[in-house]
Amino acid sequence: MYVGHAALAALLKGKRPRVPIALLIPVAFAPDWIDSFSHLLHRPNNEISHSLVSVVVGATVCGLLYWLWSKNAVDGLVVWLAYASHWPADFITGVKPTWPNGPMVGLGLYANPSWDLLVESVLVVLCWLSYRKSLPIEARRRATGALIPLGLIGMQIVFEALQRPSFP
Amino acid sequence: MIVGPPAGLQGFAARFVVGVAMLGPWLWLAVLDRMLRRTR
Repeated sequence: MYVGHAALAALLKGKRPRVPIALLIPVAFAPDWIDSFSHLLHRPNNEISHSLVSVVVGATVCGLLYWLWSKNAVDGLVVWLAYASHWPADFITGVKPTWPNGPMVGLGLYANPSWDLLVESVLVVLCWLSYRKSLPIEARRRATGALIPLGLIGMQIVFEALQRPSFP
Repeated sequence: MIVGPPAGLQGFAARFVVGVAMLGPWLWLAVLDRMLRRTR
């Protein structure tokens, strides 16, 4: 999943506005950051970045650190959820490791880029509608707000095209 | 997660694109959220 991770971070921001979105988004992408760095170090390991076990461990570390820093358990839980949401989201679009020597599982929606785009776009719109409720009333009426889903869906289209030149 | 890259320089380029791609939604939402929450 690509922009769907950012959409889920926005959903959590809407539920808990005091947690910065500038923190929630990189946390929601954390397994992808780890994967990218592991490739740069020539030590790629999908089990370290994307397995169910590693995501639970990473989410717990980030959640606990934010709990300690913010002194608020609910804020820590929101950060935990941002990280943990990565695995079920990727389960829909890809095939992910579970635990060491465990099965690879997932719906593999990436095999069909058009469906992937549709599912991620619907997720973006639903999460934005929920996030929007957390904004001040006058901000909800501003056209600027619509740039959030439009921009994210645009990024998804560009991303699909870059990854698969044959898209659509 | 993003499809696995090819090897070598092409793989590095693919990972670079992935890295840049992850910055896009981050900056987009951080800037727009700040604009929308700013009280006049």
